[in-house]
Amino acid sequence: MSGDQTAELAAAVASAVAENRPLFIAGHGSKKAWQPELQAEPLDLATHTGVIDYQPTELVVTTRGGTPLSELNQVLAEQGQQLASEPPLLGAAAKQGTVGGAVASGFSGPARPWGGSLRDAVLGVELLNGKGEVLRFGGQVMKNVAGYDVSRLQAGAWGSLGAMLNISLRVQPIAAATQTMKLDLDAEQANALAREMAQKHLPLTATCWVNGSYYLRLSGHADTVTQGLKPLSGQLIDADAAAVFWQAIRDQQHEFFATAQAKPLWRVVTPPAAPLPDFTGEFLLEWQGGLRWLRHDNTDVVRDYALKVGGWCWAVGQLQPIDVAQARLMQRLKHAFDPTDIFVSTLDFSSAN
Amino acid sequence: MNTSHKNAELVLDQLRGVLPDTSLITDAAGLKPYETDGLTAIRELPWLVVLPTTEHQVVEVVNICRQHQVPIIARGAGTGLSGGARPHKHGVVLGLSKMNQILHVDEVNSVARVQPGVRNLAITEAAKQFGLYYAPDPSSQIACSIGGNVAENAGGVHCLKYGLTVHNVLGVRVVTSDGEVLEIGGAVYDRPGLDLLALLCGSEGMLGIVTEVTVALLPQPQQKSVILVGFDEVTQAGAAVADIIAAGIIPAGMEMMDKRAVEAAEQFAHAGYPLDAAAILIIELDGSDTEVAALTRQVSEILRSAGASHIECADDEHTQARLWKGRKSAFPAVGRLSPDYLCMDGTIPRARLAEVLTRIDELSSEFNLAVANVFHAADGNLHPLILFDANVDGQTEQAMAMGARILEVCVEMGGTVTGEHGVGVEKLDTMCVQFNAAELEQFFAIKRAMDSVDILNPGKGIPTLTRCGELGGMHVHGGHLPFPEIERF
Repeated sequence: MSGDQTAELAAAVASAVAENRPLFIAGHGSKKAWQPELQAEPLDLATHTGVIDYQPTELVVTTRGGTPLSELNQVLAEQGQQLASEPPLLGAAAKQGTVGGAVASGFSGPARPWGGSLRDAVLGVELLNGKGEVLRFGGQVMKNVAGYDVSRLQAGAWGSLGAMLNISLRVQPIAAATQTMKLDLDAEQANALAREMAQKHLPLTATCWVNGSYYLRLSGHADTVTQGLKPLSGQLIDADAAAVFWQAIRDQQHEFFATAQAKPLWRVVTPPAAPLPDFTGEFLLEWQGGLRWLRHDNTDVVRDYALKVGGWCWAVGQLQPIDVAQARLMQRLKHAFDPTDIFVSTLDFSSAN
Repeated sequence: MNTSHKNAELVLDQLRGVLPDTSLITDAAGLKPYETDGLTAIRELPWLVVLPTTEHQVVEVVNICRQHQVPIIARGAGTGLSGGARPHKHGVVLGLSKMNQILHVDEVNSVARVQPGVRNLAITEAAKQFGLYYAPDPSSQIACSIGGNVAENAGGVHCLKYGLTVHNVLGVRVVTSDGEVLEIGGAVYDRPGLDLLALLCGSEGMLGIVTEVTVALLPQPQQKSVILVGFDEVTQAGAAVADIIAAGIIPAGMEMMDKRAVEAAEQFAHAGYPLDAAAILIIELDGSDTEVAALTRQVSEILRSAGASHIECADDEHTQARLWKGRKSAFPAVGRLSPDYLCMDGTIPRARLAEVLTRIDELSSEFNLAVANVFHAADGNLHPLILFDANVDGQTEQAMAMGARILEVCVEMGGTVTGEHGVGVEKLDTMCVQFNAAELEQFFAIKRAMDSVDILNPGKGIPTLTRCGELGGMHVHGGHLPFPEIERF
């Protein structure tokens, strides 16, 4: 069973509402590690698949929510295009996540600071809300200010407002040339270099510091990439090896992310130039310093650090920390879409946490 | 004061208690400048204007207005084109022009923290010393304010490559109708929970009042090149745009003007546009020196293959400014052709351009009103300017009816009724074409969630179901609108 399941999904929500049976929106389950256990029945979006419309010269693709992200990436790559935000493929083979799941989680990959977030690329959605209504917002065009931006509101909403049946995304040409350079630097030196580079004309599309090495990816016009590499003294990485490396970072498959590690994994988002933590612990830096993955077992220490530098932190498998006043507003917004709380999600607005 | 509000004196007393005299305008002469925004066809004196200087004063004003159910119309520089800041005769215009400080240009994190009344261009001017700039550049950037840009999700001529306001704002402080101050985001790339920032961008002052904005700054491009291209056929120009994108090139800007717009701009700005062309493109490329040189060659080649009849490449700042001047003055230039004009703001999939332009020609004949077309070709945002004379009886209504028909065509082609100017009061009716009852009700549910007392810019942005019902399937012929008692701007 696959293809257009709109009628079946709308009926499933309607009967769940009638019988007061909470649902959670399920795709491939590739982001399970990020979610607390949800007490609800699955609303299976994984069979609602297919690329509906793709116009490469319009830079827009529309897919059903359950379409595998890997399949979309393939379709785009055949036309020399990509999702500029490089959303991660988190699961095991063949179950690496759906387009709807990618948008719902709001995760962006290594290119985020330069290519924008996946949320930025959302142009329109067809949403199945908690009343079982199928509603269209946004569209297939770059500029659209008709009504509130309900489409981008779905990014990072983890399905709390409804299921995305169709999603239109802005796409980007793949750069003509890409090179990766590895520099031997400690984290402080890497952060200092990142600050210096931020104000220069480097066609950066990814940075990663891990285990004493700073990896820089430059993409763009071939001449610009060559020119950009000139002032840097590091070691050029072979193209295939570099692709494998960045994919491992994007998909959280690098050994740093291995689940066997004892200490909890934290995702800490900070101003890019914020000072590094003064406590000891393992870390991996992305986004020119704006994303810091930490291994640490003391929640208070990590939270204090994130707050002190003007950022926020989230431990894998825990609830996202949401400001009390904002959580209250988010709860009201949720009820605007889902008045009977039929959709259970990983976002919890009910308590201050 | 023209209010009939029963607690008028009490409200005024309370406002006097929280605002200095210089921040409260009550006299007709003082209120006059606030009777309209950039949509000058409609005017109404507000009851009061308040000009707070601090976030705390904004909170106090909101608290007083909520207590007495007084509408609050937030206003930036008043350059909006859809009547979003149109006053309410029993309401308070909350002008943010006195909150105009650049709080911090943080060059190491490439962000600036600014108050809402700061002008768009002033941010770039402040960032220039660090080699940085703020990318979104609406045509009104000399005057328009960043708070208004957030409220309207303002665009500009560089959106395809550099994005809209929503893509370039990382954080806001916002006062809700409950009088609460929320701090959303900051100098960070994402935020926990629902994306309130995305929801606030383009919400036209209906969901909250922005009191501080953190914007992303980008390094100024090393090199730019501007290409002026003329085509004998509009369709050739449209095809050339698609060819450039198909080649994997995202120009910094790509603008199209039709013959009438070119003639007007040329008379006004003497930009050196080819007057014999059916359409022109102005293409801006940016990047490193070598990249721009290579791209300029590549794009010129594509343009020649697409049948360009005129190509002029400018790599010096002076010539580039001249080529842009005609485009940037296109609206006032068209204004000289005709006593009045109405600027539409539909967005269409670019592939449908030729069809849409043909339909606009047909409508132009049907209504006997001339149209000049200015088009953000890169992102599909079309600004047909309908020329009319408000002093000729019935022509204003004719122009508005024709505008509504153009927007219906945009929706039919898979586009939208407004790309960057907002709904305001102007496009309430055409919203009924784009959204069905359940979708409109979803918008109202959002509005109730964020502003349960409905005091923030009430009546704007989203048409009521009653209004749409009464207009149901409205097609206007001969300028006679059904239900003339409903305001239709």
